[in-house]
Amino acid sequence: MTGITIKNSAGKVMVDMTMFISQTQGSVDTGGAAGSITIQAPPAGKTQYYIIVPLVTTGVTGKLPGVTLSGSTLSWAYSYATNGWGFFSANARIYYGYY
Amino acid sequence: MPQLIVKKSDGSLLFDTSKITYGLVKSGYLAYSSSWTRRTLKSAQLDPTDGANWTASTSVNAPTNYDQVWSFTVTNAKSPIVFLVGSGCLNGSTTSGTSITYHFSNASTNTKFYCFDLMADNIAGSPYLKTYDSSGVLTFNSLQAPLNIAGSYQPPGPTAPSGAYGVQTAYTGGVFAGRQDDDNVNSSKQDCRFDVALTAGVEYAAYLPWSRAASTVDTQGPTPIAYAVIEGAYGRVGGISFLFGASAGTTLTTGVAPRPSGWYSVPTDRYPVALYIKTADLPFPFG
Repeated sequence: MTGITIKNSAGKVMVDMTMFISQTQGSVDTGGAAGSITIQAPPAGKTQYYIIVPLVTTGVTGKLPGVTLSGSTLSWAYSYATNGWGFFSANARIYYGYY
Repeated sequence: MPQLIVKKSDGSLLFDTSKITYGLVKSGYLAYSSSWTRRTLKSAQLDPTDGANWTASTSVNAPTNYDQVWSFTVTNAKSPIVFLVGSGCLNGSTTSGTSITYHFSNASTNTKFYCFDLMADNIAGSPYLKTYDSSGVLTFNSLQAPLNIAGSYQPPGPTAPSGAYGVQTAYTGGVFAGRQDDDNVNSSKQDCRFDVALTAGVEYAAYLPWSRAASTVDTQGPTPIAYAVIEGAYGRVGGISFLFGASAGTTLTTGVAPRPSGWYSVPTDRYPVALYIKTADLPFPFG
């Protein structure tokens, strides 16, 4: 078996580098508007994922983008009712990585 | 670039310290915070598609009424994400100084959260392994439990609209699940839930990066009502589940008979993908 393990002073394993750990590859800020980027491929055998973090206070009216990851294309768009509801496109950072 | 790369004997990558890792910063149970009143149309002749024509939702202390909200707060986080064990739909977050509070509907005090953030050099203790990228940004800190995604899942689409009103099941293969049935139009709630079976006996937590919204007609009480629903995902022992459940502080419409109970206007143009983790090796409660 390859890898290293790290335990805390109580003997609990905190890191087991014989297992897969999810890692981020990069991020993109939406600026509150739809868009898309091409992202680098994951290492062999890895699966890509994305997470979304708002960069502004969303309250209950700030809407996060709907994000899709298709092949090497990461795209996002905002969709909500606009007429008098007070919703807005929350600027958000989309992190992408692999596990 | 200084980096530590760990590979398995077959050459496949296990770990690369040049990439930033997410780590656990807090875990615990959600706590009831308040209930958000439902919004009603100010006058019957007004245009319901205009949000300005609806009353405002207010936050009140009424644990059995209205749309109950369960919350937790994380401080000094940079880019936190939240995994749940047990039902919950994220309705938004409020930021105050260095604190972020997350608000969930359709949850309970039995709902567990696991909050992860970009690893940071802000936890005391030893021994440790910390790594930094060439610009001095911490990429790994062994004092934090790392995020280890076990898999991802995209929920199925809704059934085709049927009948005169286009009623749907929000997930093909989903089930109706009553949540609160108390003959009260202000608090009646129902879910459409879709269960995904994973390994039996293993507890999972799930994170939904973004959510869709739709509406439901609820005929549990004597007065049929319509209200908005929001999507959520959560883990449980043996799998994960998706749901569409009441949006907190939703609009409320009465007089919707004879529309059948079910879901309406479920978006199909794009779908979120839930990530899930196993909770067994994560400290709880923590932080």
